[in-house]
Amino acid sequence: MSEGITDPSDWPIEFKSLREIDSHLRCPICKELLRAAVVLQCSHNFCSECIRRHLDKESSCPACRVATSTSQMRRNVALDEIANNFGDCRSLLLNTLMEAVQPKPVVRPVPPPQFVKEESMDIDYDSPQQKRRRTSTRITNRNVSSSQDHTDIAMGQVTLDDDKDDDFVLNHRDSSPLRHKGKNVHRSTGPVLRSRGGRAEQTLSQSSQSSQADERHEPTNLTKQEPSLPTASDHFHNSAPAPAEVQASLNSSTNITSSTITTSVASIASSPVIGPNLVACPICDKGIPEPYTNTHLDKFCLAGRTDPDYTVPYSLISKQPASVIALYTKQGTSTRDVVPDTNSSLTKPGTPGRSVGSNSSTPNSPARQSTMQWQPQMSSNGTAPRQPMFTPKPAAPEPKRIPKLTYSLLNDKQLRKKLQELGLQTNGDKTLMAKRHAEFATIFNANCDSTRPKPLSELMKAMQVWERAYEKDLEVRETQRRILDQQQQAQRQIHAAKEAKRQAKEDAAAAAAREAAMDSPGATPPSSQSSNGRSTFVPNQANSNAVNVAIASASAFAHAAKYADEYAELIAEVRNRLQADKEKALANTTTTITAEPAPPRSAPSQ
Amino acid sequence: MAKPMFARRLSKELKDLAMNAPAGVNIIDANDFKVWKLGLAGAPGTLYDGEKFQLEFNFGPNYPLESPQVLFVGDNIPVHPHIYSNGHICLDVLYNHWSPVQTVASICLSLQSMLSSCTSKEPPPDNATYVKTARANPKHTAWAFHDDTV
Ligand SMILES: [Zn+2]
Ligand SMILES: [Zn+2]
Repeated sequence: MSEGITDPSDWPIEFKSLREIDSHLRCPICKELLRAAVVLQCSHNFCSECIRRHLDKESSCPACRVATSTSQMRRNVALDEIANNFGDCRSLLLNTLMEAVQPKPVVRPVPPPQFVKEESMDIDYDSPQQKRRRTSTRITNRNVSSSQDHTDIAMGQVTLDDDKDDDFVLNHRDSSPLRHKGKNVHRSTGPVLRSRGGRAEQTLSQSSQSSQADERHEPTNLTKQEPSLPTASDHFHNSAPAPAEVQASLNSSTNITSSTITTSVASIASSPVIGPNLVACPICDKGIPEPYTNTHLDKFCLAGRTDPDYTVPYSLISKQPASVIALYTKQGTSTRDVVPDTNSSLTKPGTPGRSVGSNSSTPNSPARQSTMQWQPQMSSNGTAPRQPMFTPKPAAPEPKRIPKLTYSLLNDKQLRKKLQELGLQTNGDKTLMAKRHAEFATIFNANCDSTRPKPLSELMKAMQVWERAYEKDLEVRETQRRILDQQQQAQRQIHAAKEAKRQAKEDAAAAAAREAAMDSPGATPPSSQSSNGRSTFVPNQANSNAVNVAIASASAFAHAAKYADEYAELIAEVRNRLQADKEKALANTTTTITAEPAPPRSAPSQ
Repeated sequence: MAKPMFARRLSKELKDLAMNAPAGVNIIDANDFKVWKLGLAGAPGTLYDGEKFQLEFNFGPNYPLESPQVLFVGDNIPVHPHIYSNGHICLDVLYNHWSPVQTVASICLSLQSMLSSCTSKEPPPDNATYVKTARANPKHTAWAFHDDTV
C-alpha cells in the first residue's frame, strides 16, 4: 500500500464484507474512495469530478451506458459521508483487524508519549498548503473524531460550550476547561489501543497511521467536520506556534477499554493578525489585510514588485457571489452563515490568490463547528449534552455551480471577462481560455458537490498546477509536431533523391545507348528499361570513344545538376561504368555485352 | 506531489493483476505507466488452445477517461477475423465503445472471449489492404464494427 494506494483487497480475506463495502465505496472510474459522490439516474455512483470529466466527452453512464448528463446527476450526500468516514477510519480499522487476525504473543510495551512532528502526520502527496490546512484543523474535532473512529471513545468529556458559536470545551481530568481557538494543534501521540485482554497492543501513533494512510483522509479526520475547513493558513503565515501548550487527556470508557489522547494545543492568542479586514491596496488594487498594508506597500508595490501572496483584486473579491465569498472566507459555516459581506470576515490570505481570507476564527469569534455532527456523538455515551440533541438548522444554500458555456458562441473578449469574473488567468488564446474555464468549472462544481468542500484557495492552486501541465503538454505536442515535420521532410528528400538517381541512370543509359546506336548504325534501337531504379541497356555493338563518354556523362550531369553534389558520386560511378563497358566493347567488339549501370544504392541520407 | 489519476489507477490495476489476473493472463513487462506488455494464452478447448500471444497496452495521461492503445505484438499474432496481421484489433470497446470503468483486466477478458468464440481461424478479409495503409496507432483507424458474433 505504498503512496496511499489502497484497494479492497487490502482487507483480510476473513472480512469479505469489508472488501465488499470497500469496493462499493469506490468510484468505478478512478477506483478511489468516492469523493463528492454523485448518483446518476441509473443509480450508479461516481466521484463528481470523475463523472463530470467523463460527461464532457460522452453523455452516457460509464457503467451501464444509459444516456445521461450533468443536469441529471444528484449529490449522494449520505454515501459521500460514508465514504469520507470510511476513509477516515480505514487504516486504523485495517491495522486493528490485521492485529486481531494474526495475534502476536509478544506484548509490546506502550511507548512513552512522544511528540510526533506534524509533518510526519501528513503524507507526501499532500501539498504544503494542504498540510498546513489539515494540521491546523481544530483540536476538538480531531481528537474527538479520531478517538471515535479508533476506539469508540466516550465522548462525555467533550462537550459543547453553550455559547452560540458552537465553541468547544475539552475537559481535562482535572476539569480545567480548555477553550479551543481552532488554531495550531500539535498532536503528540496517537491513541493507545489495548485489546480486551491486553494481549495485543497496538500503538496507533499518527505516524504509523499515516504510513498506511489512505491519501484523502489521513491522518485521521483532520478534515472531518462538514463542511467547515478552517483554512488557517493565515495562522501559519503569521505566527510561530504559540507557547501555550496544553495537554488534554481523554479518558474513555469504550468498548475497547481505554484510550489516551495527549494533545498539545497552541493558542492563537499571540497571532499578530486577528481577523483583519481586507482592504484594497491603493496601488495594485489587490485585496490585502489591513494590518499588512504597510508591509505590502513597502516590500512590494512601492518596490515595484508583485506581492505573491495577494493576487486577487479587491474589487473582484467583493463582487463575488455569496457562495464564492463563502469559499474565500470559511468553508461551510454550513449550518448558519454564508457571510455576504467580504469585509466582515476575510482574513489574511495564506497564499497567493488562494486563500484570500480563510479562517474567520479569532479569539472572539471561535471556530464554528457543525453541531449536527457533534450531538449524536455526545448522546452515544450518555452524557447529557448542554444543547438540545438535535437542532434543526436551515440547510446551507447550495453553492451556485458555474454554468457550462458554449465557447464557440463567445468571442475572446467575452471569454476573458468570464475568466476574470472567476478570478482566473486571462492569458493565452481562445482554446486555452476555454479549456481553462472548463477545467475550473469542473473542479469548482465538483467541489460544490462535496460534503467536505475544499477552500477556493485549494482550487486555485489546482488551477496553477493545471496551467503548468497544459504548458508542458503544449511543449510536448509542439516538439512531436516538429519531429514529425522533420521526418516527413526527410522522407520527401529521400524520395526526391531516389527519383533523381533513377533519372540520372536512365539518362546516362539513354545517352550510352544513343551513342552505341550512333557508332553502329545498323544496330537495332537500344532497349532501355527501368525498373525500380535499375536500368539495363543492351548495346548490341558497343564501339565507343571518349567523345561519347563525354556526351553521356554530360547528359547525366546536366540532369542531375539540380541535385548538386550529393549525386556527383553516383554520376561518377555511372560514368566509370560506361567507360569500363566501352573499354570492354573495344576489346571484344563482336560480343554482346550486357552492361549494368550503377547498382542500386541507398539514397544519400542527407 | 500527488500522483496523477492515471498513475494511481494503474498502480491499483497492476496490483490487482499481480494478485489475481484473469485466467491465461500474465504480466510480462510493466515497468512504468506508459507501456505494459501482457501475455495472453489461448483458452483450453478453443481454436487457440496452447497458443501464446503478447499484448501491448499504451496508456495516455487521460487514461481511463480515454482508452489505452491495445494491440497484439510479437511473433505470434492470432489469426482471427477481427485481428489484423499487424496486431490491430477490431473490437469496439477499445475505441468508440470504451468506458472508463473498463480495466486492463476487463480488456483481456474481452479479448479472451473474442478469441474463444472464434469458429474459423481466418484473417480479416481486408487484411492485406488494411495492413498496408494503417497507421501505427490503431486508435487512428476509423473502425467500422460490423458484427458482434465472432
Ligand atoms: Zn472517481
Ligand atoms: Zn449507470
